[in-house]
Amino acid sequence: MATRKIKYINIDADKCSGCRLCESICSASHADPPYSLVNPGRSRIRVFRDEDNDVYIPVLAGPYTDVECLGRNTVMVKGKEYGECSFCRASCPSRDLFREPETDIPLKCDTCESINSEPLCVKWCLSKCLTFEEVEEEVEEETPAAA
Amino acid sequence: MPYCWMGTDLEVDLSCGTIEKRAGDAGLVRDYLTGKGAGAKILWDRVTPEVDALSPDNLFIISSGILTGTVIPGAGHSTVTYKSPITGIYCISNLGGFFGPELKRAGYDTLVVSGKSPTPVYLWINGDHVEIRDASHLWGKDPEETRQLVRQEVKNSRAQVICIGLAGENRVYNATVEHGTGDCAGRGGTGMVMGDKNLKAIAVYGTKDIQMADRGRLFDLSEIILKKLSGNRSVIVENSAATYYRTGIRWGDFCNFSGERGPELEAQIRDMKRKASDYMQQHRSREIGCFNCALRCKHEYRNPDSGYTFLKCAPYYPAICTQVFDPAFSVQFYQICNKYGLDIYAAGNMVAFAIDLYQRGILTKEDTDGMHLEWRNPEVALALIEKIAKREGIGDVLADGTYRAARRIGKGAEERAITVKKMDVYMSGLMHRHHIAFMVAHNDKADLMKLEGSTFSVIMHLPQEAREAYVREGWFAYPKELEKYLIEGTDETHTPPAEAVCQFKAHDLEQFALADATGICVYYMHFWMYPAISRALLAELLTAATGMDIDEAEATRIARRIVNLVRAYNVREGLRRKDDIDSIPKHVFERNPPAPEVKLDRDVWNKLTDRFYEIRGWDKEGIPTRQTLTESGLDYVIEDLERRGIRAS
Ligand code: SF4
Ligand code: SF4
Ligand code: SF4
Repeated sequence: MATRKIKYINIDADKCSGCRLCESICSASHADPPYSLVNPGRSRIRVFRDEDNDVYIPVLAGPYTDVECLGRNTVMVKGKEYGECSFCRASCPSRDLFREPETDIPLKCDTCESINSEPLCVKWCLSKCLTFEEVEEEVEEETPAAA
Repeated sequence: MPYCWMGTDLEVDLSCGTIEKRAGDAGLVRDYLTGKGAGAKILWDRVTPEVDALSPDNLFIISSGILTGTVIPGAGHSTVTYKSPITGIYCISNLGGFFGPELKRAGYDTLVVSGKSPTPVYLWINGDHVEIRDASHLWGKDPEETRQLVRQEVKNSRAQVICIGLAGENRVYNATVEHGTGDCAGRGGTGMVMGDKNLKAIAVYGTKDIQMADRGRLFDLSEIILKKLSGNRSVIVENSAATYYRTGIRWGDFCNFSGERGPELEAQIRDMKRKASDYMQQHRSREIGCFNCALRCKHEYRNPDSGYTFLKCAPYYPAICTQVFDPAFSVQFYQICNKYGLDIYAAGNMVAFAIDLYQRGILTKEDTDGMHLEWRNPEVALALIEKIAKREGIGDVLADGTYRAARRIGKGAEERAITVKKMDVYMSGLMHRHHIAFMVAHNDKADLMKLEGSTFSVIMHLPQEAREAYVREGWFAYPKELEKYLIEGTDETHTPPAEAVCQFKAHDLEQFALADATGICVYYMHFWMYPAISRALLAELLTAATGMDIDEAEATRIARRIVNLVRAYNVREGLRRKDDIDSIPKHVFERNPPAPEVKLDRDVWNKLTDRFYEIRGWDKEGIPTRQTLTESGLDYVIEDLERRGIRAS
């Protein structure tokens, strides 16, 4: 059995203050050149906010999908119904979330590996809503490491 | 072209229904930045003394700070500038939340609304696409409903919305512009101006980049700020509750300065401190931050029926105004003010004013539709607010603000109005403190809120050692030469030396001009006792973010330019020395308060004024001198004033 390191960004949504510092720092740090701009539209984390219903949920950009889901469900939070897409992590053709404005390039959280850093959204989230964890996990020999 | 500047202003004329995009002037940004600076310049140019605050020619100017929307923690604010219908002079209201950064991402630094629409409308700014839309179906809706309906209509749940409530629609003088999560452009009559233009709401959304000049540097500086915040944040809330109840007792300023004191009341107040702190611990459902803010000073409480109420600091003010020592009542008080779009502080004053008059027999049951107005009665207080927002019965009179209401009521009511330059001021803090009264009397907006910094309310009263440590640890955000005053502290009546009052005051005006021109929240610039951003650091941030070369001295020059322009604006409106020195309610010069309070002394008061004007470079009448104006690059101001027969000496 071999092991590999899995990185987790854990979200304790009850602690989120909705400040969107995470969006700012993510978009700035991944900009080209780095720190040349801020634009939440380019961030790999977006905070779903419904301030009238106390719902603040940071969503980290997940994998790209080239087709949208067929069946869509709804999600009840604090007695209010939200479309499932509200909390979905995919960069999906049905919406503009997690795609670069103008170029449409899909965005995915890389836990800041591409910029050789610890996860900056975690570091900048002083509310401790976001925390980072690296876990050694066993993997079966024959399974090729997933990207 | 400076970085983090969008370079375009938007003007919407509601009389003709026209929308114009104008290229901004980079030279003006260099001289005034944006936010407060841009607002003051536009107001100077276009809202002259001939323009009444309630005429279509008054402007409603929203300008984001130059640093707003960048990566800098705390840089998320914008300002609303207008001629105040309450005071008739310059006014600015700061707006937190998310509106300013969104306006920039839509592509605009400043939005100017002029004219007056014949029917209710709202604005939808979706990047380059700008629309004036019908709002007749939104008229009468509260801010929360309005926000939700507008977001549905524009099909964008991420759009940022500001709007007025019933109070603004009904031209209540102290109406606010509400933004949600406890953010509003609150004091001075913003909501009345918006209502007068028949403008119910403004929604904005944008996807543009906000560019920054010096990349690595800005990141490093921002991390320094975060580090400073993280070590000291926890005390913010608990401290503020404690401070306000303590000062409340000491100043004896409860209930419209009615002089109510005594052991029983004091015990209640002391108890309220504990109750408030317990209540906050138990019922606070979340701490909320504005854009990019890790301090999160806004606190969310779940309402007993539905929805949420947001409070800053502590639930103390309603208790000061009503003697209802119940935090749950305070939350309800805030809730109802938010629902109608009403300034919480002014609402408290109006309620206290009405009860005080009733208790003195100036108002009777005939004036109040049979309501018996008394202290310690939550129903009475809430019913009064309801009436004010709806302009019903006695509420219609109070809705004009206590200054105007007092004149409508007569019979000595004028003496009981706690106003400064016609504006309802925050009751706690005025009484028998030369320096506090001085701060309010000489602000460019008659308001103590945020203006006093934390120096006189908190830091000066710490034990000597703590003050020394404060300086040593680098929290003292004033120029070095003022350090000695802090170390010296106050005398036995808690009064700091006169020179200190004048120096700190002069500095505070500059500091807050910079906060409001850059869009940095005042909590970061020493409203709160642990300011993460000193003026030196601010200059570095400005340079790194905008690419303009701004050192500390240049930042100070910009601040002074803004302060002097605002002063000149008010001078042009007719404001002089007497309006400053006579602005404080008379009885604080007349009443003999119990020790250690002191009666305000006219002589001391005059001397403070002289010295403050001298430091500012204003003459004895409070008019900026020619030299001051020239040094600030305000020669066009000299010309304009002279054309109007006002001679700067
Ligand atoms: S930085 Fe943290 S608290 Fe702020 S929005 Fe992001 S997750 Fe929430
Ligand atoms: S870990 Fe890095 S890439 Fe992922 S969302 Fe946070 S800042 Fe962005
Ligand atoms: S300290 Fe409070 S008002 Fe200031 S930016 Fe933070 S949350 Fe907003």
